Amino acid sequence: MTKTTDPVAINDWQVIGRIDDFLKGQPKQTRLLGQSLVAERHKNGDIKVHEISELGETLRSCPVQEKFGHVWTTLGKPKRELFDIPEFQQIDRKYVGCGGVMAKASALRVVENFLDIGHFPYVHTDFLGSEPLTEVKDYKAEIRIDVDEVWADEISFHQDKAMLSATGGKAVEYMYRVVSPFNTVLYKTCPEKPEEWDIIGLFAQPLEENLCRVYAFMLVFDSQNTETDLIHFQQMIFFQDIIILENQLPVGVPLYDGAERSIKADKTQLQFRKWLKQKGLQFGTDQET
Amino acid sequence: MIQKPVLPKNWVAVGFSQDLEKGQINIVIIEELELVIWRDHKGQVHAWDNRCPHRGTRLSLGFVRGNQLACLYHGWQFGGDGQCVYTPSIPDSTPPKSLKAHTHRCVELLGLIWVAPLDFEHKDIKGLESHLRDSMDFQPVRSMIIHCSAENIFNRLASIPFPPSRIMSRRLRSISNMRLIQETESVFLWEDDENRTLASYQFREIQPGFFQFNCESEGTADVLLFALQKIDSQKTALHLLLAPENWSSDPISLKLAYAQWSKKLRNQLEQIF
Amino acid sequence: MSSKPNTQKGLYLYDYILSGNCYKVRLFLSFLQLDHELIPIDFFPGFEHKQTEFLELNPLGQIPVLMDDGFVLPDAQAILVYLAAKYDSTEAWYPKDPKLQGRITQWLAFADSITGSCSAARLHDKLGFKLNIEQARKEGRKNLRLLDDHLVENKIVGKDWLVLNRPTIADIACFPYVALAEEGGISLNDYPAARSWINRFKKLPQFIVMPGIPPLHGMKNNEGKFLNQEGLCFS
Repeated sequence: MTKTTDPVAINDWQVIGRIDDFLKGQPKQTRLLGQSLVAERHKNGDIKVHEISELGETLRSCPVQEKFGHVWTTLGKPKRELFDIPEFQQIDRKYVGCGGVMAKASALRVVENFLDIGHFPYVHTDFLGSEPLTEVKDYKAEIRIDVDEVWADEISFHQDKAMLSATGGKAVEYMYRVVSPFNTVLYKTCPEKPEEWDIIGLFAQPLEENLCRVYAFMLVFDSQNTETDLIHFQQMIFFQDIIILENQLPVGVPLYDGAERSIKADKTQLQFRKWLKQKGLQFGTDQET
Repeated sequence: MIQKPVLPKNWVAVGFSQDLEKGQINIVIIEELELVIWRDHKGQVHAWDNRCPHRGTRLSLGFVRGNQLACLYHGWQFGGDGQCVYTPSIPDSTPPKSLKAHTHRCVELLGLIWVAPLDFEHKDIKGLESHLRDSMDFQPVRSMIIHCSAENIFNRLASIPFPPSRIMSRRLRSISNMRLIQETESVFLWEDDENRTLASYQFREIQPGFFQFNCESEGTADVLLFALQKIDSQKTALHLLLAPENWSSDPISLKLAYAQWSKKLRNQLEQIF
Repeated sequence: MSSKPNTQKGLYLYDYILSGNCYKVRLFLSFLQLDHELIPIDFFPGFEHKQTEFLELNPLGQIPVLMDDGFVLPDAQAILVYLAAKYDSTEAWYPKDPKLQGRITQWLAFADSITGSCSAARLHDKLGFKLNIEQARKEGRKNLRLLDDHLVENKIVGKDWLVLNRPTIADIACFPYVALAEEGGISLNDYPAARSWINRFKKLPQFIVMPGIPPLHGMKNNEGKFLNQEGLCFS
């Protein structure tokens, strides 16, 4: 596998693991956008990341940041700072990192699936939705040029077990925010504190065009459930999605017209695709012949 | 991007009718083209491209409701003609006529499910029945996947004789103890310490991918039919049917014996040479 | 880990939602309609099953572990045998006939081979476990072909399940990692009899799902109500 030539993907921050995944003196090999990397936490606590050749020779050194419970690097020169998730500053929120799970899929398909609600009754049956309450009422979705993110809000959907802390089914409000092509968060009704939002996010590490490692996390108000309970719930949801993610063709998301048919409920995805097209992103997309 | 595979311009058998119940879904591959084969609750069988037009999800993961196939991802339902009739996230709207699954011709004959391009007619394959004697009672033995190209199988099948039913009836599981000696190009001797049985074989192609193997042995005649389904350049599905001299008082044991023998056939065909 | 003292009354299962081995027990507990409590273990990313506290419960560092009125039993297959012997008054799932017990135990051992191959491939492909993936997939395909051939021959003699014409714990033991094989890069396309068997499993009363093994939505209508054989609603 070779390093991508896509400048949009290269000149951006990408996740390569949880902070806890990197222990002192234990170098880890990983891949990013087709490029092999080695990352090591040194005795002083700093993480150093290098591109390496197929023979293991150390090449270019990459910038590193540790933020939002995860480690970030870049293969190029990002024009902007890493996005912000201010809710990480709220000390009474419970943070849970669910670990990196691999999917044989394009990271863009993973993000699109995260933005999708219509699949809840069929893929997350009796948790995030169930028949016959399948209707996705109209909502708002837009590209916010000022922050260069895709946002969707005024979404409402009936869920039997929206969060582990939920007792009984009810209508749940959602907002979606795509902070960069492979990273997204959602805000949903918090059962324990109705005036706040619970946050669930996905940071997708694009290993290859058809392979990614997905780090899910939660930033929630939940005094009842343990970290393990929450990890189990989130992993259950993601593994239910994996059946779909690993069975979509073409693998890459087609940004050209006519490849796939969409309906009104797909608004967020369509804005996401439009945004990716504007950026000129190629990695993880399907190229029209 | 790779060239999209297309269906060959002939009928291809993809499995037995008895192996696809009402409401059941199967995935078959013909020359690298993935198809979803499903039977509705009226009993009608269908063959479509294995891809939902919405987000490209494999329809073979879906489910059958009544006479419709639904995609697992968003529950979109498609009628027998491939037309999308229901999109649950906007339940009150009628999907446009252009929203369809890509369908192919699919019929059942001789206990097999056959697939062909849409412009093929059922009458084109009904002629197959006339190639075979009316008095033959063909029953499915089994389908199997063989790691061998269809061409190699075609070249070698004639040289792998099957045991005559009179031996199978007598010694159901001890064929492995028998020695097979080739006497002439088409005559073989099945022998063990107790018996010697001569059998004469004839192999012919009835139509592309469909072969008849006759065996005459001491006054009895058995026929084996092979339907080949090329999956890709290295893998082929073989669907075996049997019409023995007579089905005897224990047809199940006879079928089982041939199903077990067919594993030997598979092993021989998969030998790297 | 929220541990329970050994003398606690009741049925407990140390469990991981993504574990096929734990799912074998969860399935059987559902088939037997036994009240129980799940104790979640942080298998990944926490590797809790390899830590001191859990190792005191099971030195092998494996889940599931069952606790029944203080009796501690690890190993999914062992738990299936125990639950059947103790709680299945119909003796349908694990009949007393010695020949049948011998056959069922053959398949319980085979289930372990499936775990060692198909499950290993899944742990590699999904959670990044380091192992010889080519070997795991090769073994997995060999096992699936054996299973598929057996189911083909059973069908000819009128048996829809591994040992009898009804499911036994042999079927429960083999089911999860066969159904999840694709997650380990082992396609089920070549095993149509196994796919039919998986479908049949999902129709069993009290069947429950696990992530990666979706329910048969075809058993319900658009209103979400279950259909009986004739297509009429009954709930």
